[in-house]
Amino acid sequence: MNEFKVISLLLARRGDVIGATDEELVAALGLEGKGGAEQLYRLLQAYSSSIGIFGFKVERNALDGHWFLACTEDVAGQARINPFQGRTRLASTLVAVLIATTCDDEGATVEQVRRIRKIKDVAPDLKELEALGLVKVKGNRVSLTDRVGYYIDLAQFMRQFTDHVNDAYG
Amino acid sequence: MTGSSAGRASGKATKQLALDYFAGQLVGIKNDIKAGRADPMRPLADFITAFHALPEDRVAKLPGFVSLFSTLCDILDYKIQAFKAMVFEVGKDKLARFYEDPGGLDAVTGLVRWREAVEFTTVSQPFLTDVLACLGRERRPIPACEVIDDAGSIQASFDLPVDARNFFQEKAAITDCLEDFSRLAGRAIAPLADVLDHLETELGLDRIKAFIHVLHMIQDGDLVLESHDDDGEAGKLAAGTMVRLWRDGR
Repeated sequence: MNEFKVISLLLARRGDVIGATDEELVAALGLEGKGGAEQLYRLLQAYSSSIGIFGFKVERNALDGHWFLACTEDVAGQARINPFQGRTRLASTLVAVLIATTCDDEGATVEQVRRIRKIKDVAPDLKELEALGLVKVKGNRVSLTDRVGYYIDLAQFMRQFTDHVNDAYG
Repeated sequence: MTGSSAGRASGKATKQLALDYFAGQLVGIKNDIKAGRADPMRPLADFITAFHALPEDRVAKLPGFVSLFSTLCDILDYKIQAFKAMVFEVGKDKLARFYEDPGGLDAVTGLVRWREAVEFTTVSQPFLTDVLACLGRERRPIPACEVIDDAGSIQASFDLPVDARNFFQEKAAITDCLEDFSRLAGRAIAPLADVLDHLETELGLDRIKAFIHVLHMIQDGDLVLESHDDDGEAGKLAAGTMVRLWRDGR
């Protein structure tokens, strides 16, 4: 088993733990010590460009620091990858939670999410999102979990949201 | 950035901030933030500015896919607060109009590019077909790849690139072998699985290498992918993935 196989094995983990952190990769590849992280990044870069041909890319969940494998946009588009396929209401509620979290310094509340969603009751959706491990609901407070970072590039989303609101409501 | 933090930022040259970043001094800043000695929003903005001011030769040495932004978030443990501070600049009046807009949320939801972690063992044959269709024609080096097709699921693992000299010797043998493969005679098409079987039987080539060669041959235009709607046995085996030899002009 060579480095690429080790990286494939760790990055393709999916279950309770998805992908791997810098530390896990460094340990698995035997790169502990000075310069280990640099060497890891070099390996990951080589690996990433190599698997691009297969329609895969290395992504990072900035919320929990895990590297993981995802499809390139070309392939994701063709394969119509959407974790909420057929459950658009869940996608809308998650986006509403993201917006509520982003727009309010105090964090999101169930009432805010309901107001953004413009529906009478968001509790069933929040319950399903909680079961998927994407949000936590405690009383009236709703918070995002690190797992959200596997479903959406948060920085990209917030840039898109900012641009959209500035353009559409300027 | 606040007025006081801007003042502090100007106290340290941008270039020095960049060098600090590479020297790993952010750890110290992180500790300062934790201890309440530094404004948590200041270094993030400063270091982004510093990054953009780096000489090109330094930036070029950074691994391209390593997002400075993600790295900083990780180091400084800002997470969502950091994202908000960096990219969220919407006035309250605009937000109020967004909240009032009945179609506002749907429009934003439509902008989202969802992604999902890939697990190789769940990659399906139709998905692999999509991947093959995306290969394009530009020749690029690719790593060795092991593909095991087991009851509709594909397991793949990657190996370091094969030795170029051996690879091209093998390729010549494979091209000859496929030209003699009766199921690819004329303009006939054959399932990808049959082509791999043939190469395995005739050349003793394991399916991992054979698959890589087939990918290269598709890229080079020696083999052509075809969609196939036949309900016959061959069609079932291939699940729509068929190849034929490129015959035009030969």
